[in-house]
Amino acid sequence: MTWDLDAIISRLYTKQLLPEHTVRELCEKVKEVLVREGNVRNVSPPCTLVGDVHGQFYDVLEIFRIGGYCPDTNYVFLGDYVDRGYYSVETITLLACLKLRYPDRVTLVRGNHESRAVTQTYGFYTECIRKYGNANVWSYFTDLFDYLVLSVVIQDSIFCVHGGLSPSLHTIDQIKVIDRFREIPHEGPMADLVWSDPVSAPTFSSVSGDDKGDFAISPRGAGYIFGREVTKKFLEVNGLGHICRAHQLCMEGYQILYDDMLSTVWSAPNYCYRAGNMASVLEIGPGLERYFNVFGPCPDQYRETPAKETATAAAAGAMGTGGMGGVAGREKGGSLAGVLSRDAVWEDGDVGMGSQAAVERRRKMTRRVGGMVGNGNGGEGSGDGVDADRVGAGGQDSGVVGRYFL
Amino acid sequence: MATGREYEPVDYELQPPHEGLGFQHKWYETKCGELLDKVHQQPVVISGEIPVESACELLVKNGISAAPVWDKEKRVFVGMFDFRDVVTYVLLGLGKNGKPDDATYEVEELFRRARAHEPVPAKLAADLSQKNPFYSVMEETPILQLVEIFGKGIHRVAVTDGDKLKGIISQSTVMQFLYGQIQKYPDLVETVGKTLAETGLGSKNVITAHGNTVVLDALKLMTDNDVSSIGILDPSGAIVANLSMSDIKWAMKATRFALLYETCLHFVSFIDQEQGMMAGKDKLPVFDVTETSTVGYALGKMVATRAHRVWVVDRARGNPVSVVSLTDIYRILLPAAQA
Repeated sequence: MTWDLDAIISRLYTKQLLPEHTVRELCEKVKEVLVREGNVRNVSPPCTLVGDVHGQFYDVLEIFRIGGYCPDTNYVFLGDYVDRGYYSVETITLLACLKLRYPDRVTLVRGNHESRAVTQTYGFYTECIRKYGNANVWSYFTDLFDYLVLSVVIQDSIFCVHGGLSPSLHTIDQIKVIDRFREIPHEGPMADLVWSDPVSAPTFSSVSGDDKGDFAISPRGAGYIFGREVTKKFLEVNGLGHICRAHQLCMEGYQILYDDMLSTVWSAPNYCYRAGNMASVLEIGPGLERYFNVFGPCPDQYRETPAKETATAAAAGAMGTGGMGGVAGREKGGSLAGVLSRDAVWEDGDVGMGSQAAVERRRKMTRRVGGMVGNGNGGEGSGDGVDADRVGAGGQDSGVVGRYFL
Repeated sequence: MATGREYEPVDYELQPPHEGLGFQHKWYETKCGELLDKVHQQPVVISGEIPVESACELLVKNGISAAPVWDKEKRVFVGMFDFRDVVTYVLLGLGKNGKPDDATYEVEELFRRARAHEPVPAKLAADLSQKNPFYSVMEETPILQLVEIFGKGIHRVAVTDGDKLKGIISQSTVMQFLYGQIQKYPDLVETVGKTLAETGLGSKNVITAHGNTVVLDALKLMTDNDVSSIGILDPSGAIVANLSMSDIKWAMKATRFALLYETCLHFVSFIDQEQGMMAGKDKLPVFDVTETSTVGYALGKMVATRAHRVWVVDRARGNPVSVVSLTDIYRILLPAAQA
């Protein structure tokens, strides 16, 4: 049987589900690719780092629209592909296929949600049962998650991981010798890499005999919280310049800490369709310039939600939500709200980063305001609002933000 | 025991520090009042005459787990009202109904239905004294007494000045304070450096339910076994989540009572996802340690996560073998204090 990956990917961009046996085969093939990758994958710039997407499929399409489609842009995804959003299955299936199709252009790092324990509580397991009638697809993907790499180093300078640092890991070499091909443990270096968080104003007290210095047990129940000194030491010991990670919601889409030693990138706009936050991807230029490309959620009229799907199937023609021809980016809008028309956004050949016109156009498109999509998505309607204590207020470091590579 | 000696700062120039002099008093001599200053509170008092439903609403609206009940006639505090009372008196009656058609209804309706099957006491005072003994201390009381009380399994005490309530101090509050003090005292450091296996800490009486148990049945399991939390297991017997009596406050808020008729796994998923959204970060669905973990690590996890217990699991199979609670930690700290 022929395995036409390009045809499969075209279908996946239109949010179609693959049959169960195809998913099984896909996972087996991707494992063969991943098993050859080390725990620390070296990537050359230019590339784009993507933070948590959490099953928000339409917003992942937004990322491709503003950041460029594979393989024209090199992508490093920092984990948390599933749980919480409505389309975890479609999201991870698409990303797994892209990895298989373009193994050198796509890197998939493991997040704390790429785990059997977490996906049973946070939505992915339930979604698999709902969409496939059994747990097979869930077990295929969770077995695949065991193969995802743990971290990335970009040109010996930028260390990328999902969560953060570990008191057990002082050097990159120590990360390389971890046996990663297993379920994420609840403690230990592998757990720490996917669960830890930096804090802005640490107040630590350590009770254990071995002095962990700046680390403290995390309120998440796994991993640690750590501060500036630990970060500085890790960078110095390993000859690195910056740490980029995801794992924490940022209202502005990103956050820069410790005088730009560490940053957080968050790529799920209007998180859980309620939080009203912006999202970003971190674009790294050939000379290691860093730019946080901030974006809002895919506009409401171009996204479907489980509640609306049956109703709009008939209206597919009018809205263009039905069978999409290609992946040229014309199908699902993504235009600046009320400023540019949908069709004016992309032109053929414009998809990648190479064209100067495309670069200019995308510069204008950043900082779009997706706005509050409100409760129209048929999910929770409680309007409880958002906790003000959340991580937010990014973009204070003018040395990085706003400077775009050309 | 506390000698009642006042703490006075010592001028280091004049006198070198000497053990026994007042420059650094023992941790257990700290007075309760000092802890209250750190934790700014607006204490909520429940009047004994109000019906259970109003008392429940007060807890939910103020975001607290318990409040003392004041008897106007006797002019004394007669007990603590917490979600265990809500579970005991109300939900058991509710469980005898089938699942209601209307998925959203007000607190009054909830109690009306429960009352149809089981009488809900209008006055709390009569029933509380047995189930929820009321402990009160004064601002001058040293923490050592709290450690003794908490070691008996009492979760919180009231700090009073005559008949005036100054605040509530819980097991968690004191433990947050103690955790920061431990490394200053060699005897405490030694205690918490031992493993759970060495100290035999924790209760092997592990009450669990499978993930597809209905929440109301799980709550009955808790009241029948007189525990405030149970472990939730997956089909292989591994512990995947924790359900506490106080979790029902999530069902009381914003009229989500239908959740009580769902499975435990569905309910804890809802809670974890809500909490994760509010905090901007998700947590591990269950807080666990192993028998080779130190007491200090187990305690650190409870302090960091603000949980009242951690499950001790067999890493190979993931099943819970025992549970260590704050009460157990208080018991093990006490002998050190009395030395």
